[in-house]
Amino acid sequence: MDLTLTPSTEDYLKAIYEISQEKRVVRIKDLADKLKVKMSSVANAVKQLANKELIVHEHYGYIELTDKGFEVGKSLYERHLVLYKFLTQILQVEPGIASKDACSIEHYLHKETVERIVKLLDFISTAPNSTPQWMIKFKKFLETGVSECRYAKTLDRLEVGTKAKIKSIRLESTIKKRLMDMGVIKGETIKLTKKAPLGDPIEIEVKGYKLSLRKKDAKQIEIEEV
Amino acid sequence: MNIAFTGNPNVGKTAIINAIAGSKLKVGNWPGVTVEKKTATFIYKEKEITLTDLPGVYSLSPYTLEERITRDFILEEKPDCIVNVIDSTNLERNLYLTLLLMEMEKPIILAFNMFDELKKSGYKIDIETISEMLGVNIVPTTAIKKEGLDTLMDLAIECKSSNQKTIKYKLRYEGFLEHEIEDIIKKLKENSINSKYPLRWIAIKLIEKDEYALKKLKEETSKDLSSLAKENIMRIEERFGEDTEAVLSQTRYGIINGILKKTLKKPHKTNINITEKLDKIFLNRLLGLPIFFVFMYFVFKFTFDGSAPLIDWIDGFINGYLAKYVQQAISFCPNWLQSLLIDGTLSGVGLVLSFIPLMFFLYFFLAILEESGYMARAAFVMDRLMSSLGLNGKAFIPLILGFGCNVPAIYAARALENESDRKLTAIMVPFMSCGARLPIYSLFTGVFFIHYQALIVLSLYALGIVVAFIVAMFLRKTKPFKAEKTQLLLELPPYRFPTLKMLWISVWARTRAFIIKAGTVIALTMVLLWGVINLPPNSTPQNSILGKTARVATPLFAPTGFDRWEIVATIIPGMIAKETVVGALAQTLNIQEDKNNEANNTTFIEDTKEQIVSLSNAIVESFKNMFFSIKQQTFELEDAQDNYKTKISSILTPLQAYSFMVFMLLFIPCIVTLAAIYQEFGLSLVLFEMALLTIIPYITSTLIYQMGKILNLN
Repeated sequence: MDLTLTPSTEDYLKAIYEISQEKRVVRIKDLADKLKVKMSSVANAVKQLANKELIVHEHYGYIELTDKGFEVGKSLYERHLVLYKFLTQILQVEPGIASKDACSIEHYLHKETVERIVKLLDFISTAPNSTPQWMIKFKKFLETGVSECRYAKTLDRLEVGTKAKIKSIRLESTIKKRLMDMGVIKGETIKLTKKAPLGDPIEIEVKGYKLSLRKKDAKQIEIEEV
Repeated sequence: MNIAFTGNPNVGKTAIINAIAGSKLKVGNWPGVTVEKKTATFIYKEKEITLTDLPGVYSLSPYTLEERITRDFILEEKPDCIVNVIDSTNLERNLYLTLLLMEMEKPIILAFNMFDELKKSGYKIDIETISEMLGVNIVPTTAIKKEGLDTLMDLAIECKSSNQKTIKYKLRYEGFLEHEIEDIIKKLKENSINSKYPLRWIAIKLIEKDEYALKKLKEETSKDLSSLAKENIMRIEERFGEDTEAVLSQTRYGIINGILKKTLKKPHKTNINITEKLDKIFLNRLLGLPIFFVFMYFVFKFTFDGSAPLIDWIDGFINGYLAKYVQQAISFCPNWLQSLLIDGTLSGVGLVLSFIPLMFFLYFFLAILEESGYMARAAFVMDRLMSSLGLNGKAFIPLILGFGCNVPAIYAARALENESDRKLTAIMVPFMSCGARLPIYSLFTGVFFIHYQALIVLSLYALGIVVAFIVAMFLRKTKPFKAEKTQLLLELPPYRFPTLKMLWISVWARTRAFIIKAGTVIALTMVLLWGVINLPPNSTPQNSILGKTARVATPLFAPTGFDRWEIVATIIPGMIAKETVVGALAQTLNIQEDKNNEANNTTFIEDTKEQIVSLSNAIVESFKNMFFSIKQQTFELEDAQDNYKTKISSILTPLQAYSFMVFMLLFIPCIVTLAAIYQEFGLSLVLFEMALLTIIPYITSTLIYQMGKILNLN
């Protein structure tokens, strides 16, 4: 049997699933209310769904999902949820708009695309820090319109003889730990004292002593001039 | 009792240990690695004391070898007292390690070294209060003036007993953090984790996500604790908005700041110090590199030209003077035994002894570079050039020394900070064409390329360098030689004047280690090789073990072009020392060298007098070479003798001769180099080197010979 559904019948099935999760029974009227359509349109759609054996419907009686209908409805609902999450959490779209847009895009996305979005969400939610750095920065960017990444000054661009404050260290944990152990910590004021005769490495003064590091590492240290 | 010394690099820890232990100091390596281990055992106030010098470290993370050694030693060997040596002029960073050591809850005292410098620069310090706030005893010391060392030792002996009460005082971290630490300790207790490590230390390591500690704990308790502190970590990260490692670093530095704010008053004006003045010159944009090369030239010249007359004297003393009288004394023995004792044993000992001046000069100048603080600058200045070749800037020094002699070059690799860099440099050194290979080039270029002698020799030096860097490039991609990530994160310490006495102690301790460890290997190998060359008794070069083996092996060398047994047979003697190849060739080709057979009727007294005169001449010569002569003697070509010319040119073509020179350039340089690698890096690297230094020359010679044949250069 052909199981492909039109966008609108998908919406009906999803709505039936949602109502069935909330209430004991689903009636035509509940559906019409939820989807804000006429009773007659509902009846039409219900007929189609019944033909595909996704629901069982006695005339003017309750609507019940078949096992297959429950499965399809559930997956439709979950797809909607994923898109909603993607829009609100990652793109930071307002919930109202997100809900509407989720409804519009969901019918046209390939199964694989949806799966990818699920994976992306999964990946982000399992990151060691509850909210990854870049997401915090993206939020800030949306609020202020200033990209931290674009304007942040890094240690390699500091001029000889000038002082700066360490803002953040974006290096891989082994080097980061080593730098911190040697006194290069957030908030510390350092001074670029010298560059090697060939321009690289550089020498900084930190905690009263001189430390040399390569430019490629210095590039990952964000500073703020003082 | 056991006392362990620990501290940051460049804090004068070596000076303190040298001053305390003096000539009792023994230098070796920590098992399995090339990190230097210094120990000394002596009697102090009727107690036997074993003193261990731990490697200089900034932290106790599990990421570097030195830090792991220090950490393991303190936790596993449980020294009776830890003496944390601190540079008083840089308390802020130095005390960071102190806090890490205190987390381990072992008896500890602090030595505030270079205390005179601190006072001279106008600082006001309240040691009593620092001592009280930390809860440990502090002794101000000035190692080079031997000040405070007796007090330090007295306290170190009492460390365990008298510190008992103070150890109970625990340094507390920031409230929230301390609360989480307590929570983890509670959980550890609930899970009845019984460890030899202190619980608070475990808790901190769990917060820091220290994988090395987790592994050790798993081995000990067979429980995986990695998820025990998961919630605590999350809470800490949420509260401080940073990862836990950063939080802990900042907390520790915060505590130190708090202490120093109360106890240390900085002088009002800071005058520009000598280090900054010197660095203006040494690290100057234009002058930095030329000055570095000038320094390198002098290190090279002093090491080799300075030691050469003394080496010659020792050689003459052993192989001329001693051999003569030993021979007289044992003339009743059969010929083969005389030969074994004189050509095998005595000349083996002579070989070891002849390296003493070289090692001594090398260690002396290396120590000056190291102790003065210039070594770190060498890395800084050269890093750009050397890092493009995948190496540390400091690797330049051993490689340059390699052109004089590979042996000191291997020992000079010690100056590099990372194990993998040290190993890789040691692998590259033998490809640097040393002075001993020059007589071979002289002979063959003299016979075959008389008009292009210099050019051909230069091509060989260049080939050695190229091969070294290609090998290094490939090895860098393998795991044991992978570059460390913390490369060049290094301190440029203040310039300090090394004292002669300090230099003497460390130079002597290291030279002695060479004589004992490398010397034994060399002497034994010499006897073995003597057997190969001279057995069976009364054999000629053709029918000795060597001659017979060479005949069998010769077909193997067909692809390289020099498949003549007379030539192949010189490869083994070439392993003893490259100088012997020419002599061995004379034997296999039956060439009579013009020996000036002096009338050997001098008396013992006359000979002894002569030795004394020539020793004093050698010392004078050594000084002249170092300070009054510009001539560089290591690279002198000598003329080939006529009697070699006809014989050699009758068995080899120029192309084959070149192929042989390439083989000699890249082949195992000598047993002393192998012994040096053995002493520094252990047997496995020696075996690896032997394989590498056999396969690479074979392939390279073959390639050159076969390509030459195609190009019709034969």
